[in-house]
Amino acid sequence: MITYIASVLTLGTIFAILALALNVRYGWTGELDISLFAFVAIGAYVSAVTTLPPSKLPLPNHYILGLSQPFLLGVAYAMIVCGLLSLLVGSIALRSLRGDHFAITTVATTLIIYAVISQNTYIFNGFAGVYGLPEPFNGMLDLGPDGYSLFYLGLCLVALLLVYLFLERLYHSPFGRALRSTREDEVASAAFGRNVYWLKLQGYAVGGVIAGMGGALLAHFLTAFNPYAWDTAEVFLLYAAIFVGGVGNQRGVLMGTVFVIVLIQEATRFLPLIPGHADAQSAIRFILIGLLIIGVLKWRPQGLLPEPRARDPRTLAPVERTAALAGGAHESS
Amino acid sequence: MSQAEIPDPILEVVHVSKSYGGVQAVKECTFGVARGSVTGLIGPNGAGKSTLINLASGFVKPDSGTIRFDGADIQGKPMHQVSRLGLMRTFQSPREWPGLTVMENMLLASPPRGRDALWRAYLQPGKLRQAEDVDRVRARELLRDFNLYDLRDELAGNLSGGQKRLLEFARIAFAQPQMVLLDEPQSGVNPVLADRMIEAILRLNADGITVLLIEHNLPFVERLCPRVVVMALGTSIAAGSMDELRADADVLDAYLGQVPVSV
Repeated sequence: MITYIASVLTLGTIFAILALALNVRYGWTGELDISLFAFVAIGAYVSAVTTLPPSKLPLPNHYILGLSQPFLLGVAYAMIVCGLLSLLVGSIALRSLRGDHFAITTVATTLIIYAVISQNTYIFNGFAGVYGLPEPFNGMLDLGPDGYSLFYLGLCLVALLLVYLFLERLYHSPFGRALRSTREDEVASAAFGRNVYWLKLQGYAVGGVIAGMGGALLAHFLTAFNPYAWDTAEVFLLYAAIFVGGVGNQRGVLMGTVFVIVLIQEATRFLPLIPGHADAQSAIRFILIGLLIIGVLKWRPQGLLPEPRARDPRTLAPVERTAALAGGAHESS
Repeated sequence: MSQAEIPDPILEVVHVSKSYGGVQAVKECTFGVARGSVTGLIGPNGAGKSTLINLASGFVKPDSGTIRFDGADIQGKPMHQVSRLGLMRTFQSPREWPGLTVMENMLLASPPRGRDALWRAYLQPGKLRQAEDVDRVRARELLRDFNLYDLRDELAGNLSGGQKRLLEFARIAFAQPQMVLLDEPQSGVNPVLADRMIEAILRLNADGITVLLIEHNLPFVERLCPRVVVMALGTSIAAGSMDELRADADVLDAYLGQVPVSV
């Protein structure tokens, strides 16, 4: 039971990280990105082949690298590779494409990556995938299944907290503000000297780096990864979480993840099986999520928690306060 | 053509042409704007005034011709680079960032100066905070001047049309470019506010900002602009004071009888 609850919460935590990543790409830069799970998968595979020993599979089955490196290095490589891949994809997709055209380009990106990974058995062993991933840190901890599942949940929660704090600062920084301005009106952003292409490209890459981290955590949680473990359509689950929680609002996105992914996804597991309809559960799940999105868009389009306003702080840095007073005096004169 | 030489032009448009498909929007247009002046740009609908502003600001690229700003060729440069050189513009309908607050709209008018680099948010938070606070102090002062101070935490999209216009002027005053191109600053604003607008434009000019403004309201132009350039059918046909232009046969013809009468 503990293992089950821990695994539900761990998956929820990883999905929360992915939802935050998508929120940067969609909620901040305003571009409808469908390719996020391609980056999650690349992150998962890169971390897998960084931590696994060299491939001893009989050809044609094979996976590249096999560096036998520790888990943290696997995560780091996953983030770096996904960041670079984001820059490559973004440099093509974001140069002049926006809206629907951008979205379609990201769909194509996902399908290409999926096709290459699943059909080519040399890179990541095709449909059979990679398996037998080491459990991070369990070599030295030597915990039982229950204890380890709780430990891994804690690890994912720490990662989520770090991502949250990283993004929270970025949101309010001049960079975040300029990025959000390109979502609102990119012509106005350019009129005030902002390089819209470069800003959006960086936003896309930040989302990619975080997706890579989430992918690495997912791979080591499953201890195996193959094309059945990720579906391009899963990105719509994340969009559901973002819409329900509130586009652009990080706390809202976390709340939406709890609603959509943890509650609906897991609650439908307990529905009675209908004989002869093995896939009824997942169908009902998608119907419920669809209804939830429609309901939210109709009655609360801004989501449960709307995007926060960046309020002007009452107090400024001490050096400047005198200048502020001078400004006030100027006003009354 | 009464195109007298401008002594110290900050903006020179030389034989600039632009066509959209079969429509020649701007054709061999040539004129200059004196540094520090408030210059008007008038002409009947379809004369190519807005296209010219789009060309000068880098929003669209000219087919041919030269646009020189402060001695440097800028034709074909993207808008954000032109803006960073100190040539900014406004739009016919105000383009605020609706989902950001009024204060955020102000802070974004500050020239980037590398401050919005991603890494700075983490590696130099203290320095960044201080620079931001200096900006905030100045932005608050300007918002007070433009009667927007109490609305600084409001989303810019919720402002009225007139308030959006004022925010636009406040942003330009904050950005302090060398020159600004104002595309119909009076459009969508209650005529009662005309005096306020004139005051705002003169204030920008007093700060050392050269102004080129497009406007259909000729009395408004006359009050503001000692020198006015007239465009018709995509090219500049005359320039001078409004009094001189009233006596100009070409100008009268452009306004009253644009279509050549076939005999």
